[in-house]
Amino acid sequence: MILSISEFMERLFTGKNPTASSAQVKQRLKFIIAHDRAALTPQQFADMRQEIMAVVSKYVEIDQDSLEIRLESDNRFTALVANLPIKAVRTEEPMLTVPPAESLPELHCEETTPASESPTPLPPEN
Amino acid sequence: MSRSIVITSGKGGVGKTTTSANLGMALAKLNRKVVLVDADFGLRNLDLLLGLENRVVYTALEVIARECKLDQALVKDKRQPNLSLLAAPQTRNKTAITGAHMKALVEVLSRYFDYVLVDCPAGIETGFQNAIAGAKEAIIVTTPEISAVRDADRVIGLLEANRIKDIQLIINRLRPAMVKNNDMMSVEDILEILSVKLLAVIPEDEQVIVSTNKGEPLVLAEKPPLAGIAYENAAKRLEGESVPFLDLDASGGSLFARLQRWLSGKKA
Repeated sequence: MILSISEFMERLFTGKNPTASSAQVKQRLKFIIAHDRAALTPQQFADMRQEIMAVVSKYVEIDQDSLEIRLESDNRFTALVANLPIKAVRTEEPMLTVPPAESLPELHCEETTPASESPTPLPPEN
Repeated sequence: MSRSIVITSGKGGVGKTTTSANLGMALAKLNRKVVLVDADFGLRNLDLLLGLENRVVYTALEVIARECKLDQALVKDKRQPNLSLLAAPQTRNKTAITGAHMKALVEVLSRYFDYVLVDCPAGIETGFQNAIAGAKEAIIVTTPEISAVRDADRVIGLLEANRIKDIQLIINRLRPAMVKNNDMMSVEDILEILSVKLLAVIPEDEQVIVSTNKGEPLVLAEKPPLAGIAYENAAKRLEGESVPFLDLDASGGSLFARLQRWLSGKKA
């Protein structure tokens, strides 16, 4: 088996194989416990996800294929973590008060690079 | 000052009753007056693990129903007179036992004993709610398995909701060789997920079955096996002594040791 560099480094420095069953069970437990603690049914979670997306979509266009909303648990603390890549900013935005156009420098809103947005602080990826 | 501690787990079969018997006996050996209360009404087992089944006449049910006096129902262990047992009824009587009953029972026992240890039934239903009603502290027993840890987390949440904040963890049936092979969660993995204070790590030990066959808790032996020593250490920690954890686990260590292990270990 050929190890990738990152796998090699992970084994070297943590002494752990990320594909070992102990790593898998830990990942699965973190996921299931986060959902247990939040006490949300799968239906409620799906509804919440829909509503969050509806709100965000009012302002920006989200990349539907690569968005991610999940619960994470650490140290008896549960967080809702959302990663919503933005495809484009909505050009017609009546909700926002913007300064008169002439005071702005040339603005081009057609294409923006996809950016991440997280409503809750993102814990460090592990 | 008396302490009332419920021993609970959520999941069944992880070693609550074994833990109750050994911890109770170990505390009694440290010269503490201990009463073990079997709260697993209808499925009592603690008397068997202690080898006291033939001496049970009255149970907690008769005490609650005022059909006998409290001291008539307490079975004193002849091998270790500091230890007493209040057995659970084996037949489910129509008398409904409530949390208030259990609370009153534990309060009365607290006047006479240094430790009131309540062996909780599995599950999180009425039996569990009754068992935790009188307790001020809790010991969670879990094993390094996905379902046991999940249930432990659930129970910790329920205990906190019931204002039991002093919660300690016993990780039972750890298999160091599997942990070393990354095929079992380590103590650190479990602590990271559950975030509670660690009281003891008990290695998997065949002697546990031998001791239950005989009705003699491990810690009664003159030279207890490793699991028995781990329970003795747990009792000392409950007493406030700082005892280092047994070195069961060969993993971890310096970068060099890990590098060595990695190089000699499986590459596939």
